[in-house]
Amino acid sequence: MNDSNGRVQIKKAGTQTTLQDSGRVGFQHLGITPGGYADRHAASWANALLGNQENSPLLEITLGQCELYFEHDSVICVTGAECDVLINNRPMTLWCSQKIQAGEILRFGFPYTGVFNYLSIARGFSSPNVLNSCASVIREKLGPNNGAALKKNDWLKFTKNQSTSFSKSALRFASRYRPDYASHLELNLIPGFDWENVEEKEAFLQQEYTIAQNTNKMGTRLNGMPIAFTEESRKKREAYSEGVSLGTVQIPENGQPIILGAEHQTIGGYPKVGCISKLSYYQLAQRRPGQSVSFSLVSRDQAQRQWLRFLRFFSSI
Amino acid sequence: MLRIHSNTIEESIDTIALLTQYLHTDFNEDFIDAVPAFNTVLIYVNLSHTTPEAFRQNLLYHVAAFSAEAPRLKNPRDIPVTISLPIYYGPELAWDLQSAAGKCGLSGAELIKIHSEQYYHVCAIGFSPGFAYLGFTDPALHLARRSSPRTHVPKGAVAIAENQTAIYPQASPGGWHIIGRCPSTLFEVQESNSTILCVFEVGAKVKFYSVSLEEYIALGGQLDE
Repeated sequence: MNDSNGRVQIKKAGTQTTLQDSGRVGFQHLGITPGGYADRHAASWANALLGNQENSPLLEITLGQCELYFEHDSVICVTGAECDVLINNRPMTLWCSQKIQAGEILRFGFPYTGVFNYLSIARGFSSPNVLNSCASVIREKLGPNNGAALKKNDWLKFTKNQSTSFSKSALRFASRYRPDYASHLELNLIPGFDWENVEEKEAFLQQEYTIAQNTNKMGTRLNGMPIAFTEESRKKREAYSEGVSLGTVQIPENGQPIILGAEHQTIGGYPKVGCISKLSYYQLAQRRPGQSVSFSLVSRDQAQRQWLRFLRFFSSI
Repeated sequence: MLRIHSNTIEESIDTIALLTQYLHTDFNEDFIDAVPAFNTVLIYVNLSHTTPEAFRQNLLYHVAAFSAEAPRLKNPRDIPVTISLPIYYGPELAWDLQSAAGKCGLSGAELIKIHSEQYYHVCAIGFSPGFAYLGFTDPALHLARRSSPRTHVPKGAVAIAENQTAIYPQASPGGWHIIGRCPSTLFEVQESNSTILCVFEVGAKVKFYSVSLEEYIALGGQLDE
C-alpha cells in the first residue's frame, strides 16, 4: 500500500453519502447533467476553511446518520446542516477546521435543520474523475464506482498531510454569518422571456410556497398558488423541449412550480417563468418539505454580479 | 437562449444544428456548453471570458451574417448525413408492438413498415445521457404516452410516443411504447480515458432497417432474461 495515502472507512453509510465536486461541465449537449454538490456555498466553505483547492473532492452527506473511521491523522471540516457531529464522544464544532486522529470515529446525528452536510479533508479525498469530475450522479451511473452512493465498509483515500503548513489555530467561520436553513427563504427570480405572459404577477410575488415531499437533487417541487399564463400566449406557444439550467422555474399543467436542481435534466418541455439565482438555489437545497419560500424579482445583472463575487472569492483562496 | 423561426420545424432543426457548429468554431472560448433542441439553442456563457451582454451582441451580429451566408456554410464539417440503425421488431422484445398497432388501427407489420421506411431528424438529446428525440413520425403512428410509465425499459428499446421516436441508450424508466430493440451501442463513456461515444447529433438524419433475430444477435443484441 502506498504510504502517502491515508484512509477513511464508512462504518455507517447514512441516507445517501457521495463523493462530489462542482460537477461535470460542458456535457449537457449529450444529456449529461452537471450534478455536483447541491449546496455549493457550504461545500465551498468546507474546502476554503482547510485551504484546499477550490474543486477538491469532498463528501456530501444527506440527512446525516453516517459514521466514518479514520485510519490516519488528518484535518477535516464539516459545514452545512445544523447537526450534532461527534469525534468519538466529543462534540465537533461545525464550519471550523478540526484535527482528527488515527483510530477516531466521526459520527453524524440527524440534522436539526438543513439537508446536506459537507465533509472536507485536507487536500481533498482522492478520487478518479469521470469526464473531468468526481461528481456522483446515481441515476446516470456517472462518477466513482459508477456514481453509486457509498456503502458500509467502503474505503476512501486521501493524501496524508506531510507538511506543517496548516496553522495551529483552527480556521472558523463566524456563526453569525452561517446561513439559517430554518428561516423562510426569499428566492431571487430572474424573469425569463415568458414572464410577461404570467397572469397575476403581483399576487405570485406575494405568495408563500411550501416545499413538497417529492423534492430531490433533480428538482424542488412547490405547493401553493397555481401559476397560469395568458390564454393568448398559451395558444401561440410551441410545444418543443428546450435546454434548461439550474434554477429554472418550470410550470407544469397543474400550475405548481418546479425549480430545477443540481442534477436537473438537461432539456425540458414545460413553460418557464424564469430562473432563480444560483446562490438562491444553494439555500433552497437546504430546505426541507414543509418549509416556506417566496419569490422576488432581481435583474440578471444583479444576480450575475453576486455570482461573480462568489466565484472570485472562492477562487482567490 | 437563441430561438429561431422557420417555415417548418425541420428547417429550424437544420439551422440550429448549423448555428451550434458555428458557435463551436467561431465562439469557442466564450461559452462552456451549447444545448441545441428543436428550434432553440441554450448557450452557457463563459463568464471568465465575456459577459452575457457582450456575447449576445457579438452573436446577433454574426448570426445576421450567418443567415446571409447560410448556403455556403452548409456542412462545414462532417456531421454524418445519415445514421443507419438495425432494429429487431420481433414479438419477444417489442413489448408494445401489438397494443400500439391496435391503438393505431394497424397490423403489426404495417406499423413496422411505416416506422422503418422514413428518415428522422435528431431534434434534441436529453432526458438521459445520449437519449435522442427523433422526429417526426408518420401521423398514422401518433399515440399518447403510456398512461403509466415503466420503472424499467431495457437498453436498446425502440419506442414511439406523440410524433416522435427514440431508442433508450441505457436501461431507465420510460413511458413510451416499445416497438423493437436495437443491438447497437448508442452511448458509452470510456472511464479510462474520459472519451464519449454518442452516435446521435442534433441535425443528423436517422434511418431504421428491420433485421431478423439471428442478425440482431450477431450484431450483439441481447435477449430479455
